Amino acid sequence: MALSARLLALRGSPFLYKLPPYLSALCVLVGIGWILLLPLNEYSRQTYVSENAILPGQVHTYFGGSEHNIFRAFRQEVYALSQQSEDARQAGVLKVLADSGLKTASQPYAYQVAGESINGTNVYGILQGPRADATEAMVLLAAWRNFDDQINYSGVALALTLARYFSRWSIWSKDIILLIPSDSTYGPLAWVDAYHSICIPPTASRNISAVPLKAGALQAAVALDYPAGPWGQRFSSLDILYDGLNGALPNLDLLNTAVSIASGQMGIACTLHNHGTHSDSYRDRLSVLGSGLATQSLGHATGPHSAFIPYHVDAITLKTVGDGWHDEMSLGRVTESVFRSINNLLEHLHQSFFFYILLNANRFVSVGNYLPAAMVLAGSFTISALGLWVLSGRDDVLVAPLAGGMAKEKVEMETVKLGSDVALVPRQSTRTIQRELFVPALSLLGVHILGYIPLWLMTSLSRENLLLGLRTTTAVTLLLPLALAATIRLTRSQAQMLQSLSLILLGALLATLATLNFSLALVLGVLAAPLAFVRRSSSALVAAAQGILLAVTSPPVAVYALQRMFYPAAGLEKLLLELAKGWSAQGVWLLWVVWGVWWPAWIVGGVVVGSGVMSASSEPR
Amino acid sequence: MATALGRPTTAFTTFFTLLSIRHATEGKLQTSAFALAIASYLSLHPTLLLPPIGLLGYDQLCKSRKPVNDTDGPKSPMRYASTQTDRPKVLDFGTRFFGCFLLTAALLLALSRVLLPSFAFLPSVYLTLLRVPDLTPNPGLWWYFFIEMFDPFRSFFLGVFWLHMLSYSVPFCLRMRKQPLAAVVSMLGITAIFQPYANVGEAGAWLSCLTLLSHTFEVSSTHRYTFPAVAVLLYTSLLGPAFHHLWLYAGSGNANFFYATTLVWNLALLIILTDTVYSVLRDEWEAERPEGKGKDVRQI
Repeated sequence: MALSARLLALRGSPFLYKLPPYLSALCVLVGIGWILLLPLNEYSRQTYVSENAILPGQVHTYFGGSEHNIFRAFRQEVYALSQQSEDARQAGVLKVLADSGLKTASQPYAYQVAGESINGTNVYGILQGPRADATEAMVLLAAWRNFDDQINYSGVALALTLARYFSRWSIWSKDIILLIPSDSTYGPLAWVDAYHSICIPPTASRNISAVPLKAGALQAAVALDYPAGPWGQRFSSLDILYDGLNGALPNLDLLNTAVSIASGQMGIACTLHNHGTHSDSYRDRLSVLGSGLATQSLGHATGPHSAFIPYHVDAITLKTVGDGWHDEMSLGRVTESVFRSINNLLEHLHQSFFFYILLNANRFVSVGNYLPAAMVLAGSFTISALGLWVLSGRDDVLVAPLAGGMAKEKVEMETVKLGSDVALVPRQSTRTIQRELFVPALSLLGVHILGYIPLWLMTSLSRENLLLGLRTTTAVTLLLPLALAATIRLTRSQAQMLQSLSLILLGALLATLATLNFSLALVLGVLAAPLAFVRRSSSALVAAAQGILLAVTSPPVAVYALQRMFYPAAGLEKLLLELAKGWSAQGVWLLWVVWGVWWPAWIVGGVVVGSGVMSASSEPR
Repeated sequence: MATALGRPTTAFTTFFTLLSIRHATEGKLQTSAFALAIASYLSLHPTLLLPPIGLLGYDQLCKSRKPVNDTDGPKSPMRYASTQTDRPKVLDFGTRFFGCFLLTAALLLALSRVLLPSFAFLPSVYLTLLRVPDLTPNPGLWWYFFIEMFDPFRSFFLGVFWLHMLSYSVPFCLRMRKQPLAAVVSMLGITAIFQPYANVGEAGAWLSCLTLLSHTFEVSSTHRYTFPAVAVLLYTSLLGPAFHHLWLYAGSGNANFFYATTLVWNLALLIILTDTVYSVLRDEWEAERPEGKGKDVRQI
């Protein structure tokens, strides 16, 4: 037979209809395998500073000598202030800043989430650059309590020393803002939100007062995290934190500048994601890549810098780790040098990458190399959806009984002509049945609207009830598909249409999410992968197996697994509280993506499996 | 729903345009012209719908008018005013329709003048629509071109863009004079895609109006590209806001990502429009030649 005649016969052939699940499986394997290939040298590159104006490490840093004595004095002062009341502490810090010649102000804030209230006051000072035209500013942060809730004695003291030191230089072309927030997550968030608004009206969960003094547009922010006590402690390396809210990252140039200065000019090793010694092996690179994916997909704040990044202000946190021989003056010189480099900038950092995955402090993967992984995973859903759509248009006569059809032994054939080619195909294969789209479309809409219920449960309940909320959600999640399948009786064609529409939407949403937060799209693509493979089946064994597979990969089970695997010490209630705080206070989208995108798709998958069971039980054979 | 979030005034324009179409289908030319004048007073572009809606009104008027020499009464098989003498005069109809339109427009402008201190509202409302000084990014095609254009060439390109949009109105009426409703809907599509301040609301209104041509959906050989076009619309309506956010708020993308997404959005709408035109014409052709039903077409 000629090739065109073969292709004509293929139109009705069962091979094409069976192909989509295998293509989807291939897409999932390719997507996961792609990530595993990234740590290799061929798919990653050395970092380099793209912006020519930065000139990292080219300046001689004069921070040293008698500044060390001043630092020690300030550290004792900070220690003394930490023993006093909150108000006295703030007044003390304000006085130190004012004595250095900065214009000072404070900003109280309060967040109310899940019955808990988070209060604090941000204290800050503005140093006006002598050569500045007051249109741009750089921020030096030192949170009073660092991310692990230790008091940041040396960090705050270093910031105060640097403020006094910077005020004596006439080279600054941008204003310098020195910010001392109460804590590492909500203080900077409140400050940055208020800085970029005129006034923020108070809501039930948030009451931030306006920032009384403002400087120009923020160009960059550097945060210091050095919790060593009043007698000091030397450190061995610097951990650089760079994740922002919702997976946004700062421009790679800021990181490259900091790494180049710290490791090049000062000789301090730089690590990422607290990875200790990095031997640049495949395992270490993969481990850093994995940590990066995890923090980016969760999208919560990882340090004081995170709140700045959604406002297009590049920010990093320099955190001291370990016990070594570098002391506070090295850190001070690193900070001074970074600020001198930022000072050189004429425009926002834009030359280097905004989308990257770091393998170690000197190696990164650019977006063109890693984005196809998430796109291919989203493609697996789309391929299955297209296959299901075509299948839903097939006559019941052609479909096997196990899949809900009524195929008979003898199928009527007819000849099909195209030009000069003739082929013999089953008669029903050249016709499509009328698709009844109303019930599937309405069900899909309804399930997506229902997704707001678990979202509300997980974000609005008070702390004690969060665990109960999660248990309720788990119970509802496991029972709802069966209940829906029993009430909405779906024919085989309708079930396939419902699954097809749901998977098309899931594929499109994950593809869009990959442009915004690649890691979240990747993680969700892997966790939701079984949804592309479940099918309606009348066989009890197959349906049970599919049901177990779905239950194991359901959103509530994922929350339990997250706590068990990554936060075993913290406890489930604390994790749920952090997630709720992320949604209400920080504006993190994670919970909406899980309960509003993944959960409805999962419910639809469950309904499709359930409808197979229901049809088997209602039609005795 | 997206229109409700954005709260633009095009909701009113769309309402009055649809009202005008409805009255035209009932043959009421005065109310149709009145509604169309209000719509044009709000946004200028419904003026382009004057020829198609006029044709639609005239057509319906012909259908509803009884023949003059009808002696058999209601049982007559000649229900339509099919002869030349029975039809309302074209010039008569045209004058009344356009006259009503112009009169209403003049009345509305006069009312505005009474409420406002001077005639300055005329340039500030209508010249901004014509000269396109505001280039805020929108899902349309114009802003990107005009942002990067040098000033000496601006008026030339303005002329070219407007000429292009104007040039569809009369030809649609001429070709689809047997189905004036199709001409109206197609013209709605042209304005939704090519107007300077394009928005999602008008595109949505036009997509809803496609159901007016549902008689072409049942013909099996028409609407060849619905699925790809709808899939593209789904993806671009998700990616558009994402890239808009990445460009203007997160600062990690640039205008090209967003404009490319709007280009693809408009391409999908255009595919739906051309498919609709094809299906209307195909339907007409198959009505004349029933043996052609179901056959594929080939470009020669």
